Amino acid sequence: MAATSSPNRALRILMRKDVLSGLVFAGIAILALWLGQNFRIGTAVRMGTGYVPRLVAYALLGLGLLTLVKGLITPEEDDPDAAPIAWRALVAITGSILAFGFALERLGLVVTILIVVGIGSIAVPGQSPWRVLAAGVVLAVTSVLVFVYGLSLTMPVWPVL
Amino acid sequence: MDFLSNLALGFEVALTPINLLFALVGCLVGTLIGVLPGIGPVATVAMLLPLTFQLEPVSGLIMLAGIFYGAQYGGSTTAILVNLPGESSSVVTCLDGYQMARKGRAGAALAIAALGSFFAGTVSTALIALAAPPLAKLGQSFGAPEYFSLMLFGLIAAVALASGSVPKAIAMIFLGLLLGLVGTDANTGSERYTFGVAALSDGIGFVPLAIGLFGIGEIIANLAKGEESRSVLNQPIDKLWPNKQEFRRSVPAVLRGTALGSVLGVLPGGGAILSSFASYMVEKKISKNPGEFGHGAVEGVAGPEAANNAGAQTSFIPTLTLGIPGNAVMALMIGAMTIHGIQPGPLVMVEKPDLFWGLVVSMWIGNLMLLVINLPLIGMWVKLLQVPYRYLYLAVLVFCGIGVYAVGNSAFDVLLAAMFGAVGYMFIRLNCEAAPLLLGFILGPLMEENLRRAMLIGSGDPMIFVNRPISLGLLIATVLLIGVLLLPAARRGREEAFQEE
Repeated sequence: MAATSSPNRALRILMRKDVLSGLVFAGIAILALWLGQNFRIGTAVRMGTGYVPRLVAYALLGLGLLTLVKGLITPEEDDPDAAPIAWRALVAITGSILAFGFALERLGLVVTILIVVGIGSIAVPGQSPWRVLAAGVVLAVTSVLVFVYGLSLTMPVWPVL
Repeated sequence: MDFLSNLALGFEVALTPINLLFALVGCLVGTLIGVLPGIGPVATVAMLLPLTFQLEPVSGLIMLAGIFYGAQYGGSTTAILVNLPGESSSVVTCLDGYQMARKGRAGAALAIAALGSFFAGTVSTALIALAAPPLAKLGQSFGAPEYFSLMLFGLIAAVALASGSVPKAIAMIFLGLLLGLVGTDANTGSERYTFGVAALSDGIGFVPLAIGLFGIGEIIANLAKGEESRSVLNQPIDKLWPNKQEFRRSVPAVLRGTALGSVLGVLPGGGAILSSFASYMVEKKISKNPGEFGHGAVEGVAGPEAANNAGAQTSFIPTLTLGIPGNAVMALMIGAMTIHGIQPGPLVMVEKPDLFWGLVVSMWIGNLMLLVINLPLIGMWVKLLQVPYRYLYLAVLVFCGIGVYAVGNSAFDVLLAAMFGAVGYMFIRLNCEAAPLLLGFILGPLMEENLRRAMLIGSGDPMIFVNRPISLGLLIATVLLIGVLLLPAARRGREEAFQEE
């Protein structure tokens, strides 16, 4: 492998799975401690609101640091399945579920499903728009029949004006 | 005889037309999910929870249970015919099942898998019926310290028996515990980590969490892998009956697999996946010609298939008797019981014997149905395999959204699920298993409650956990387990057990 400059090497160490996981765990633990700094701890007999959260957060912090150190001292090995992050799928899928949440109570189930399927279909390059539309219509009709009429779940079917 | 009258009550409940119908629906849906690669049982059970809201609790739980063990059956079909595990528990079935299929023995492999699973399901269901009453009685004598120690043991054992890095898995448990703390503190009434959001004051729902991590997160990961080429075996499956020699070789393997799976299934974290891996290792070790494994050894199908079904069944034992889930699906079953207003624990059997015994008997009936569903209908399942994932995931997205919304009619929950979906993909990228997180999340509030109560009983002295014999025993077991995990030899063995992929 070609010699890499030092900032590049630092970045590669940072991107190791254990290093990143350790940082995530420790980060969340510190956030939990900071957010919970005003919780009453109480005593061991009568525990306050903050007793258990603090206990858990300190344990998470310790485990996070352990994972971090383990990642730093383990010699680098080439990750065979180092696929790039699937940004396209990540954004499209997360976006389509977010859209579901924002749209359902205003636009009703039918329109919502068409939107969700539309946004979701962006995740895979080269989807045929007509087939996606057909899938959306089929899903909308089945869902209304099964969930709203069949199982009488309460959700609006058409846009709420 | 208590045993017989209990079973009679169970048959009375399970054989009502409505419960038979929902057992069948559960088995069909489960098989469907099992056959389709890329949709796991956790996401399915979470997605379909709202379907059971309108039902009686018994019918709802019967259906959910059917989905779970139906998935074990369905997963093997895909493994044998396409060389893709439909479920993670059928990974090892690919090894020899697909090779048998390539040699024209697909029918025999499918039949052996189904018959072996049915036998294992029958034995392990009987085991549940026998083991549950004494265990529940024991559970009733448990106080807060015993429960706390038991849950601690359960969480650590779940890590020990799962694959992947131990410190990371324990960290995931603690992350789950932390997420479980969000909401109003039951003891003091003050809010924790709610950011002033009213929808969070009741805590994070477990359905948005489970669907996000296991449903949406997995969709993203599957799409990232790209479309895998599926070469469905296109030769007709005519001979469904194994020949005499195959039969003779399978019987002992099925017996061993059933025994192994029944034991491992009871342990937390064990269940179906570990059982099938362990059974494959055993069969390969004791075989006279281990070289045959990987080239269509019939024992390599019979043993693991029996084991994973036995493990799936017996994992209900701690869930139903003690209210302590051993794996992610059982955590969802606990959640489903809570939604139906049933407090999971040893009292379920006493207070709702019809529900308990109806569920147990329906498991056996479900296994019988699966035998019928799987063998003659195999052609239909093969057709389903040809639906491309690029359309399938759109349907899963819609059902995920509806499922999350319907639990609490809350649009906020859907947004939460979207967020956990992205987080779930991040965990998959970082090789962090999400199952321990879900276990921690479910057990977190229970553990806090029992810890507080125990400390109150013991007037603040942690010695209360050591002074009670059962609690002490569980703590010693936990410490031993951690010690064993740290031994280099055990670490290697544990890695080996999951290396057969």
